Amino acid sequence: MSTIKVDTLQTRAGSTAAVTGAGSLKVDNLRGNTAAASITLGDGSNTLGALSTAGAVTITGEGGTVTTNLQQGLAKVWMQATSASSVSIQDSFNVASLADTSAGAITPSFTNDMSTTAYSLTFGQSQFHSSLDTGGAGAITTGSYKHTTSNSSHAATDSAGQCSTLHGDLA
Amino acid sequence: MSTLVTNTITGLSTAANITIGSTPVVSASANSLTIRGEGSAQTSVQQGLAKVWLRADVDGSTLLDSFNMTSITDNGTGDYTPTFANDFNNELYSLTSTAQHGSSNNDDSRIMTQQNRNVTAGASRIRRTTANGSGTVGDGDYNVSIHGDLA
Repeated sequence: MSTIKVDTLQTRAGSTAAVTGAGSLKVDNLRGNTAAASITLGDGSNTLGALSTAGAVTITGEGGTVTTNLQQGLAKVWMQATSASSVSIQDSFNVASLADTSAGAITPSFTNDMSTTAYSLTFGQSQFHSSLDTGGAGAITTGSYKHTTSNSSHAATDSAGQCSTLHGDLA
Repeated sequence: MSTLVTNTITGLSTAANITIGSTPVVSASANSLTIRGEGSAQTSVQQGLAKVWLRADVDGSTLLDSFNMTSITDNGTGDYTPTFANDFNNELYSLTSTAQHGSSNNDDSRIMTQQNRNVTAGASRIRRTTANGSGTVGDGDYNVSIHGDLA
């Protein structure tokens, strides 16, 4: 086995990558050699593909026969909130603020907006049940949605736990 | 800007372990790449990804936007079968769905139910029903997301 000991790698044009010791390499861009858009990681059992396509990195699925899109598979918003006594966010991702819209209805506003209103939104709740509200002012926008919980008499009712998960395309 | 051109990135101390910035990434088994979660544990990238999501239009069978979908079959009023582009390895995936509410304030309780006898690796029949389970109701918007193992 041959070993090259070096602190800095430099192209003839002057770009450098630094070898900083202890197995660390400082570099701004990684690119596949055989195929520029494909890099294999670790022990060679997982490959990232489509690296040349913005926003569409692929990874091989569990069965090994097809690839799946990393960005498309990621939840862009999730939240658990309560409206039982007062409205508040328990925990969340990509939520900037939460508004108390009306009884049983809360409206989170996103930190980073979606590209369209045609995103996929699923709900869960600790009490009662939820339905998708696509009507009315501000029900669904690229930057927010309204989550309403209803009781067994179909009346909008505050709930101790209102959960939601959003998948779709970021702006 | 420096660019490193290579086919494989392998850890020095442990071949499967690479750190990107301050985030450990481990590739130690086929089709299971892990990344450090918000705390100290590693989590599977593949397992955490939604494999299907969709937003259906008011007719229930038109895709407004989707991922890994080919089409939705309209089986009748409030009765649909979304078909996936890339199949799962079995029918034991996790499907969650939310339905559009009814047209009036006292008619706002619609849920989507999955028909267990009509679930395959490549499609899943779902129905839009009332929250009290009284039966299938009219067409309307709904959303679906699915997590599970791809084939």
